[in-house]
Amino acid sequence: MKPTPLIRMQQVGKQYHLGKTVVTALSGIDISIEHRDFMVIAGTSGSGKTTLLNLLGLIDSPTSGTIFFNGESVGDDRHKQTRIRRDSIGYIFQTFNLVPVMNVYENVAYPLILKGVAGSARRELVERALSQVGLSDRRKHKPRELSGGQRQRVAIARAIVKDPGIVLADEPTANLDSSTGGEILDLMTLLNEELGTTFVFSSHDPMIIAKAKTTVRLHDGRIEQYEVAA
Amino acid sequence: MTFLLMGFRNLFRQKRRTATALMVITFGIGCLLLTMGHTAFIDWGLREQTIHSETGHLQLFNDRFFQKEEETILEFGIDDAEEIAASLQQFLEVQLVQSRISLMGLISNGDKSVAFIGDAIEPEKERQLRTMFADNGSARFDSLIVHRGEEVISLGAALARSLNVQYGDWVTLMTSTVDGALNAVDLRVVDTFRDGTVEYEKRAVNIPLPVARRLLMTDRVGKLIVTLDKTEHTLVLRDRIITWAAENGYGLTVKTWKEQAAYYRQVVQFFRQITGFISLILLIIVFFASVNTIVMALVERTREIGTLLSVGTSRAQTVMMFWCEGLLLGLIGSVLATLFALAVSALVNGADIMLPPAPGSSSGYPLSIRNEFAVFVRVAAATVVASGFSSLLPALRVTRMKIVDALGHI
Repeated sequence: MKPTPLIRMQQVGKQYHLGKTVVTALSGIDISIEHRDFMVIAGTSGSGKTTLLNLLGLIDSPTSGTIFFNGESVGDDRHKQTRIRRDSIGYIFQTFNLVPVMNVYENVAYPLILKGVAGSARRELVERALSQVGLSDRRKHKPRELSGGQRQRVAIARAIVKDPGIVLADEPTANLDSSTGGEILDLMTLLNEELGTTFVFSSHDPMIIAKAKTTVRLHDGRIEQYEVAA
Repeated sequence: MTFLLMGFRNLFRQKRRTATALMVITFGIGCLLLTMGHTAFIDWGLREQTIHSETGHLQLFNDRFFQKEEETILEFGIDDAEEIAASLQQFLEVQLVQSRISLMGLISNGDKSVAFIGDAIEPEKERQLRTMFADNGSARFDSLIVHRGEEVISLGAALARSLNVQYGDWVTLMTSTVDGALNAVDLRVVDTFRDGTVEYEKRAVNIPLPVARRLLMTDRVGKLIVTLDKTEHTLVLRDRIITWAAENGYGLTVKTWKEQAAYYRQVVQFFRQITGFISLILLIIVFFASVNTIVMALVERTREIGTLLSVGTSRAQTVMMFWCEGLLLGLIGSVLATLFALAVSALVNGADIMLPPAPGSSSGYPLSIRNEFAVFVRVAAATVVASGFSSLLPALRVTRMKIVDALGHI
């Protein structure tokens, strides 16, 4: 029996209202994201990559269609969305989006605090995540004291620390030089292979696309190509 | 705890803005504390001055005095004043019991007659009463004490000027006796006094109690004044004395100093209204200082709010984070305001500054600030509540915020 996809989108569409003009950002999207996938949503600027990622991350709502998370329809229930985001989704932003008043350790620990993980269990998970991204020696540093690559590593640690079902990354290498971007990509590939963490990227970085197991190419808000590597 | 800590750190991200808000709160609430401290000093000073110069803590009257209008003076006076006064000493809290008669009539120097209102007193005990809190004009009774047993009188300074009499001159006091007949007595002026109220000084006289009793042809007194060791014991002793009087068959009504001190009540009411108005204005200032800080923080941190929401922070938790900032702003402001008020009050109290007389008064009063812990706690609580509430209103915007819009905020 085929396992239930982690996330399934069924005929999902998204429209924006800009004054009296209606802009269709996405239309008729059908996607299934399987466990342990390493998916890239590719496309030119304005093709709808970020909108699709936002819908997958439940930080935006579709105007049509249905999103299923672990087989369960998410719907419009804000509390349910918050619970799924808190427990099952990690998010990595293009601009890192670390909380500046927290140090590295606190930024990574924050999702666990939200989940109610306390004491030594929390410490162990944070230390492990920091070790996985190679920043154990930077735990006391504030984000402003880190390089761009280090900040993105902290963001990755924050995303994986709670062992989410899926990590969504919005152009994670776009603000990094190619060498650092490569290191970050290698790290995420390693996490996917060793821990089985599911990753979904929005990117037009050929380096990321080359490593993808699944590539979804968008054009004008529609899926132009859906390719699963052999 | 995490949100409180985050609130604290976020508060000092924009140091200059937070410092400005704290300065507004510190200065505003500090001034409020100083105003309330000065009002408390006036309240306390006036209370103790009233008690220890006029009312004592308790006043005992004949039961019928408040039930029916007297047709003649002392118709409803107290008969066994000396016996009751001696018995009241059994209460450990009772420090002093003295008798008084209030009387009125005409006073004349032979050429001119004017109306007077007077108190027949026990000068030694009046002197003692006025030294129990602070020396509150006790010297005005010295001459009456020196001339104990003589037919003497002390006049209000303005009355003495009006009658053009001086030490050693004679005046005639005329009033009706307890039977309604007219009676008069010649008394030698041995002193004049000032009482702080010009209008009162134009009519006031003090005479020894025995002289009044002879003039009124009675052994009764109008009331007994009971002074206690502490003002805080007033209500307890009132109840105990009422019980004691009932058990011993004395038909007495006991009034507290507050019931008898109309002027005190008016002054305190007046100051409370002023302080209440100032409090309201200053709390509004605190409210807006806090609102401004939190609104600016919200605008600047919209993207961060989006991030927190996207990693699973609930909207309620995000609102709580800003609420904590508001509470902390109020709390820190309250602590600084308290320190400010303590420092300024120490300076002011040490400077011995005298304020000019109030309207209708003939003497000034000290600019002094009485710091009361309960007032500090009340004001700090009000500040924290105002500041917390003011942060809650803008923070509620988070509940309507779309995460994608917040993340896209620049």
